[in-house]
Amino acid sequence: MNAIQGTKRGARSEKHGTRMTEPGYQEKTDAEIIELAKGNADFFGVLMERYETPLLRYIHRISSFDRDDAEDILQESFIKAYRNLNDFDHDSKFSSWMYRIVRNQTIDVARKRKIRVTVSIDEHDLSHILRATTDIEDETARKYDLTRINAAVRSLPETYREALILRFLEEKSYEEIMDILHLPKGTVATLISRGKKILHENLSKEGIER
Amino acid sequence: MNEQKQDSIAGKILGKIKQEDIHPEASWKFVLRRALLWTGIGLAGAFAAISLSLVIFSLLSIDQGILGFAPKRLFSPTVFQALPFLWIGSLLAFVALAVFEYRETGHGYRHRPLFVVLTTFLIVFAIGALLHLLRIGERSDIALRHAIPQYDQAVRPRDTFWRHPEAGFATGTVANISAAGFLLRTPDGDGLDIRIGDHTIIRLPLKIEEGRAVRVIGDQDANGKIDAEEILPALPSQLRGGGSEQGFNDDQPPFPPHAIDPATGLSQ
Repeated sequence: MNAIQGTKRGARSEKHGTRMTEPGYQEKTDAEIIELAKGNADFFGVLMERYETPLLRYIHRISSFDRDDAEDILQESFIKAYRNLNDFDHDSKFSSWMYRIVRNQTIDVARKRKIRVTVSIDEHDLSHILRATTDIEDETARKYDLTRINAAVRSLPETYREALILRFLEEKSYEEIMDILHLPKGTVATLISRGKKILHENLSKEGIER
Repeated sequence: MNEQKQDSIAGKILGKIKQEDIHPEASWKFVLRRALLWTGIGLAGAFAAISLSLVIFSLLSIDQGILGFAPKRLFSPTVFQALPFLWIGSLLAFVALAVFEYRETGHGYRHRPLFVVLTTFLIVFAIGALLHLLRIGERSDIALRHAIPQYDQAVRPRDTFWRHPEAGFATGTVANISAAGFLLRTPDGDGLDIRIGDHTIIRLPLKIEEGRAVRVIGDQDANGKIDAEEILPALPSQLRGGGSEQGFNDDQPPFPPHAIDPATGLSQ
């Protein structure tokens, strides 16, 4: 997962004719690049570069799709976003809008294939979410069977799990989660608070936390 | 290897966008969609408000005082049937539509559904009450009666509310006053014996006299006589309705052969 963060942006940009990595473009805000992308698709590449890694990781976190399927979902999501670029509401963040599109696309594909959307959280994510939501230290967590901790996280109801992933793994603010899940801010706060509580209870049942 | 694969994602998508000549949809399409959505919300709200003004008008047409005068009969089938279900249903449907459409707008999800529903009802009630004061409900009711024959049939239970002596609701004009009571001449031309006792509450501004239009609330015995609990004045509008197969008709006197003086409640 870490390896994909080092992207060779310069080479790809040259290949497509526009020097998207020139100083200036990378410094521009999403909103500025969106306006440029409306007239030139190459600029959309800058946005794709910015978000392909976190979005791909997000698809993996909220689903059990393999890499190829995740890339297909990401591709469809970016094309959908590009088609609807004029519908983007500058009141919210572009990243939130993209997360929303990716989430919906993932759910659509899962429905079409009649498979259940299940989380796949790796060891690193697991320890991150535990640190953020409980008092369990890494060392303590290591003492226990990680599969038991994983089971406790997996047994969270879907909506709570999704909110916790966005808050503690994707590190999104409440406003961003509101825009991604299309839920009122109060509901987001409730989901996160109750999700943490349920996680504590699940961990207690596993004998990991008192 | 991973880097190369990752590196190709944005490039692959960009290549596809160019190859398939994909472009962002024109702005006007989204502006039009938003405009249609907000127009839909406005229209749904307006129809909900008109429906509410018709609900108010319909309820007041039954009897302005029925809630206060006959609480123990409030849940009787006669009262239930007389409720303006058509307009209550229409009100709820249009409010639901307005709420649904609002949720489809860009920021609709940011508010709790209950808040959106309550706010919509609040706005609809304010506008609906205003429309009622402007007599929009009444005018709409009259216009619909003339334009749609089926509507007249649909609202008939409301008109015939005071023509259910078996349920304790009767109207007509006073005739043949006696020591025990009087004979009530109904809009259908039937005669009903009304008994007045010590417990009978008479809410008439003037005394009971022949030719006066009244409504009676009471209990009908096996012989068809009504033991009156309350006697109230009646307006001409409450005497008509269902007198003919055509129902209400402005061209025909509603309660032949009398014409009621609204000021005194007396037939002329």
